[in-house]
Amino acid sequence: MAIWILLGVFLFAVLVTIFYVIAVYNGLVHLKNSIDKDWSNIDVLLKQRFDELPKLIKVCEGYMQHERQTLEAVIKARQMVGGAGSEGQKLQAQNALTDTLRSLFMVVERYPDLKADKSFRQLGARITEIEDQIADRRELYNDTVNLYNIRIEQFPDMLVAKPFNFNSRRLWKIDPAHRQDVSVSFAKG
Amino acid sequence: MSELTVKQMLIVEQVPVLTAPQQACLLQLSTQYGLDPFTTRQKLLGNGLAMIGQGVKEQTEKIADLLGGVALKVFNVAPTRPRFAPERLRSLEITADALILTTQKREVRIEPGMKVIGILADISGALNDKVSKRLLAHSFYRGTTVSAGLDEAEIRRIIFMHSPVFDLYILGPKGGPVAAVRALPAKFDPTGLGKRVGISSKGNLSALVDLVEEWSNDFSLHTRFGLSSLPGCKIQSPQEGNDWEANTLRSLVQFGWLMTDLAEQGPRPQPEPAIEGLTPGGVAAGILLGRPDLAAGGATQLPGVKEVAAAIDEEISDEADLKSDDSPDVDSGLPLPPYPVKETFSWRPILNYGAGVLIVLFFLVVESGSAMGRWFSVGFQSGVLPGLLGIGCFFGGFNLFLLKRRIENTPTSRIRSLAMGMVEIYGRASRQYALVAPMTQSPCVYYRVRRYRRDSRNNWRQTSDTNSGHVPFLLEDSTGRVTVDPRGASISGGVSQNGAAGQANMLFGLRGESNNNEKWVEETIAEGTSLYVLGTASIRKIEGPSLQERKIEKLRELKLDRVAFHAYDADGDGRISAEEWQTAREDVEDQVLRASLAHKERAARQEDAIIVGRSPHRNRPFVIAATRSETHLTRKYLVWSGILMVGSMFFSLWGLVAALNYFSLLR
Repeated sequence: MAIWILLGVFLFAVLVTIFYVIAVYNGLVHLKNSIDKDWSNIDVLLKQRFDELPKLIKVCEGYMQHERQTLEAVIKARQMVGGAGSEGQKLQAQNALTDTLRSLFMVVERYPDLKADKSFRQLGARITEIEDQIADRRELYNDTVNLYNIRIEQFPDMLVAKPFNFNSRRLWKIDPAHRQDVSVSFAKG
Repeated sequence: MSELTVKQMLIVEQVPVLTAPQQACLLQLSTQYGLDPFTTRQKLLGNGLAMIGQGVKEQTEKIADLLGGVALKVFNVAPTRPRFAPERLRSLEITADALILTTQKREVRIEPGMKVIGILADISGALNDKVSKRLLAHSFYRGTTVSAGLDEAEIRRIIFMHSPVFDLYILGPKGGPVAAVRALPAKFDPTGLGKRVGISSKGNLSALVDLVEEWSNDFSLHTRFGLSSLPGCKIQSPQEGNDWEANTLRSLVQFGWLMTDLAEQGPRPQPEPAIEGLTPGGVAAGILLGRPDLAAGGATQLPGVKEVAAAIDEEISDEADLKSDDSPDVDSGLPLPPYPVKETFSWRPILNYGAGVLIVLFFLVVESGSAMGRWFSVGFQSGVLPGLLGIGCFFGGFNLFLLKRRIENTPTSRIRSLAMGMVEIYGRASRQYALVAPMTQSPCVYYRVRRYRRDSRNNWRQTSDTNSGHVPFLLEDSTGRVTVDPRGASISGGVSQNGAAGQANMLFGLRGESNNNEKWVEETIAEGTSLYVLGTASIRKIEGPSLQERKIEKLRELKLDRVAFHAYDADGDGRISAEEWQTAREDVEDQVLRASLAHKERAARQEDAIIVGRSPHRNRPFVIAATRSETHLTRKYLVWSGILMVGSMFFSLWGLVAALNYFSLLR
């Protein structure tokens, strides 16, 4: 009798283990694909920003006759995004575009008429909104990568991750130049 | 009898809320004509028509002038005694130039250009009940004194859900009705409706209303029979005697004739603008000073009185209610919850009820010792049933474990940057509709009420289970807010309260005695609760009336607005010709299209554009939980998963031992 019960318990434990392994494996597959999805979701917003830019440039052109350099920098950065091939190039081009946009919005401060333009305000608000969303989604991407990396290194999930070659993924990193402190100087009155 | 001595009826179109000049007018009516201000106020507030009083024309004219001066639509009519009752419609026919209605006695022709008054009424009194409940809901649930109105489409829907009657009065060229027809569902041959004919008798009646509206370009439809406080126009309920139906139909005739009088004589023109400076405070101050002559603004010119008048105004103005309703803090302006939509086919209730039926059946047959009882007995002895229970517990526990892992593996998104697909969000719940828990009367985003009754063995048996799972709500975090549609969600963590039957609705004093044989358990998620949601984000489909339906509704409104309607009378002959009607239709079509485009532009807010709900792929989880943290929730799932796994092992071992015994393998 006892042997049968022990055998039953053993079989039950084996069954639970098999199902546990299946659950862990499927969980890791889900996480891995979520990382790719989150990355693509950032691309969706980058594409939206890319599509909004020509409208913004068109509105600015009328007012900013003396800022050709800034506008051309934005146009050039946008072209770089369109022509980027590898993931690294794309990342670099997107960062450059973000920088030039920031410069553009700073320069706009000198043009009160442009700032007051309804279309500019709408487009500016839209691009700022997209920028915020991009930042949120990058955080979400990093969250997912972080969860995945912890899972594959944590016991007991690592017992499943190692044999099935689940390798760690890289977090999204900013341009090192953006880590530097911003120097703010106040002109003496 | 001279015109001045003919008894006149002073009828007003009720308004949802009284403005300050209208409030002031009440006091003036009280001081000058002895009309009780509270009763008059009650009469003025509502959704229909109300008789303020009756008397000789000389007197009613003066009161009508006062009411008309504060932007109220007033009718001062000499009512006509009904000369004939509507004849029952038997069949109808559409010809090239007329719509022919055949009654018991004759044929009635409706030609374009004829003036027709339609009365669409519910004689069961359900519409009346609905409006009363709506009023209670507004007063108690939403804390506003603004009278709740039902729109025409809703009124029509309610009428057709109960006992509809459609009366038609055709007005002659010299004025006054020349014929009247009554259509009842299933009492006329609908084949004459042509393509509009359907299998539902009420649907056919509705099609007839539309057909008459289409044929007569001077058609007014009245749907507020029973809602109006008019003499002789009361709905009787079955409790009031056996002849309630005949009496109600008689009242309907009275109402119909009165509507023809109103259409013939029309509302009084409002030539004078609202009296400047007329406020309730000013009138009250005038009365307090014993100078009613100064009530119309003059009293406030006296030193020190102006401040007193302003304070009184602030206290009693209903407009303050309106303003506070618009503020986000006080809530409201919130629409009433939508009606539940019938769900598409789902296996879940079948499985739930099926399992319940099997358990009941099991105990019945085991006790009765029937053949089936013996089968169950064998099932247990052989270990098959414990084994099945073990498998059930195993998969239940495993599913909970999977859900726990899924929650842990999904990072929390910010609401402003939600991507389509599976998302996890955390935020504070707020109401999108004026949802209130039915038993405890508390504002909530979700409720579930289960009612129980004692059976013959003194055990509680569930008799009903209702919830607000069809009512969407909003979830808000620091970045934005989104609509959550809880249909099909696994909802947990609400606050549970219970009570005996009769303890509910005490607010309304409807029931006072509790019943020990019945009880209820109400689970609610209150507004402001922190909620965890794991669901599927998708683009929201904006549902609403089609362009065609909106066009018809606009045309209907145009016909009711006499001034706007006659603006299309290009040749000024007092009638709208077919060409003029065509112009009006084109204008309305254009307006509706523009409004629709404007609405699409506005619908860019996130809560209007994105909805989090159940995925069309049913294997994806949809969880809504009132919880302090995600860890708290996953711990709960882990505990339940463990309990089920232990249960599974217990039943499996029981099954194993029973099987070994049954097949005599234990030697």
